[in-house]
Amino acid sequence: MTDKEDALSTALDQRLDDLFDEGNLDVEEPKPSVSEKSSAPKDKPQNSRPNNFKATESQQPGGEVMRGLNALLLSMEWEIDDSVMSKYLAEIQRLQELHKDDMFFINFTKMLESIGLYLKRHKVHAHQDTLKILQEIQAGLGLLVDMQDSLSDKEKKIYFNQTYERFQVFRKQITGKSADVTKASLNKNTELVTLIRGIVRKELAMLRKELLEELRSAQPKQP
Amino acid sequence: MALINPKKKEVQVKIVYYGPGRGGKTTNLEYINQKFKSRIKAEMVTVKTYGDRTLFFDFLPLDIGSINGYDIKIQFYTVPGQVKYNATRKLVLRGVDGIVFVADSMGLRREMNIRSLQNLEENLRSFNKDLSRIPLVFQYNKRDLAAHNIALLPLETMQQDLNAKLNAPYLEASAITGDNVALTMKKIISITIGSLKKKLEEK
Amino acid sequence: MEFTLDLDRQQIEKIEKILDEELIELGVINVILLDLAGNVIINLDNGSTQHDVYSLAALAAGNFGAVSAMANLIGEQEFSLLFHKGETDSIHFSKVTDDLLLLSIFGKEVSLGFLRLKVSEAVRKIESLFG
Ligand SMILES: Nc1nc2c(ncn2[C@@H]2O[C@H](COP(=O)(O)OP(=O)(O)O)[C@@H](O)[C@H]2O)c(=O)[nH]1
Ligand SMILES: [Mg+2]
Repeated sequence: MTDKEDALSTALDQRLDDLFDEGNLDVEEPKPSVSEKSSAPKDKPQNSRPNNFKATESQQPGGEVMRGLNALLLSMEWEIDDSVMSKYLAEIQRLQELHKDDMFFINFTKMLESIGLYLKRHKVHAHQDTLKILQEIQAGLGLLVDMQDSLSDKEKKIYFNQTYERFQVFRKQITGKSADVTKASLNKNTELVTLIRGIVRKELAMLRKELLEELRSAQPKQP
Repeated sequence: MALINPKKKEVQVKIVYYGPGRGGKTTNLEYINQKFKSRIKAEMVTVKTYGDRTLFFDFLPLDIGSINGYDIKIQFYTVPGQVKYNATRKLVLRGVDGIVFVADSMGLRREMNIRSLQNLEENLRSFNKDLSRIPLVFQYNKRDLAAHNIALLPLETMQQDLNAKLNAPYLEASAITGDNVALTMKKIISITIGSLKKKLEEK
Repeated sequence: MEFTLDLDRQQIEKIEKILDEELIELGVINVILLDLAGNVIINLDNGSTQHDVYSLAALAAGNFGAVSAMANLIGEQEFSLLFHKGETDSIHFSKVTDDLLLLSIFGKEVSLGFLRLKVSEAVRKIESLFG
């Protein structure tokens, strides 16, 4: 015991003597300059995701139509709780009612709705990209609203399909995530997947119908 | 109480430089920071108000390397000396392991030294700590002023005023010239680590 | 009052696991669990930073104490959200127990809303470790 204590003291004294040896300072390498430290490479992972879709305070596509929804998305950035999620879903329904004749608008909001429901239900267990996807799709809808008059239906469809693909990728990510988690959340996830699948199926059917109609109308009319 | 991390084999020790405002606490750490920069690779952090007074605290981390298999990291703090900052002083005293009391040797600072030491005891008491049981070193600072014909408190007076009961190690020093500044630090590290020995050996 | 948690290796590893799973995997750059004396109890990062965690912890503890005192002055027990937003990186503080703080440093890719959910989940799990 005493040996050990002595060993510690000796080691410590030796170290302190070395550290605070004032007579021997000039042999030290020059001290690093302040600028050297501050300019040290930060090595930060570059944000590889395109951020231009992100709804921020400064830039919010969709104007007046999307104002409420955008504001709610911003509050979600700040805090995700039942109250904000319910308001968000209610706002989607209000918009759907207002735009019930606009199929593109409806389809976009359905994606938002299903993701919103998913986030409301799962909160902390939701996929970490959930808010990002919501932002992307909502910004996409905003752009669609902004460009309503300058896009042909065909262009709108292409635009929708791109976003829809992104939605599907995310859906797969959620399904993938559920594969390696516990049974309990697996059940919840299957529930969700069924829900999303239902929406997806409906949307596909709708798209198919529209596509057929479009093809039909594009063919020269037979007398 | 020092923080011992048995996983990383690391000990964090907190040493606070206490004393009346303008007594030279910040200057002590600045001297160490300047003089030994290349060796201790530390970065001093200062939170100052307008006019160079310490607002929150100064902070100087010092990694003294591995002793007995433990990586020992010492964190030096100074407290703001002005009376009105007592809340901050208490904050800094939280979890203190060792204290350097920097007393001002100037004749007109006699009362301030005594009051600051009382304040230290009171603040420690609010954490249920007893100054006589904490590693402590007295530094009687600004001894260089004697050469400038400024009236200094005699060593015996300072000892009588501050250290009669506590009987802690003491050094005369000059933070400005660096006289005994490193020695003060060595002393406090040495007795503080010494007081932690038992704890370290248990782990 | 003693401010030091006497954690053993296993407890530290358990907490590290929680912080890793809840926060580092979310994309948080750096998580520091500290006590109010400014000691670093756990420091985890995503491998791409070299923050001076000891200074960060000292200032965070001081800052937290100062902000708590501000809360008291206006008759609040505590402010529930402590958050500093930067151009690229931001800092979020959360109280874990009376003596422990959790500091998360995160970039733009992580939304505060989601981070807050994850932090409270992590805090809940850590609390349950201590019974
Ligand atoms: N002559 C002399 N002046 C000192 C000495 N130590 C500090 N000072 C000066 O005293 C003033 C207050 O010092 P400072 O370190 O800020 O005191 P603190 O309030 O205890 O942190 C500064 O102007 C210092 O330059 C010393 O040993 N001798
Ligand atoms: Mg000072």
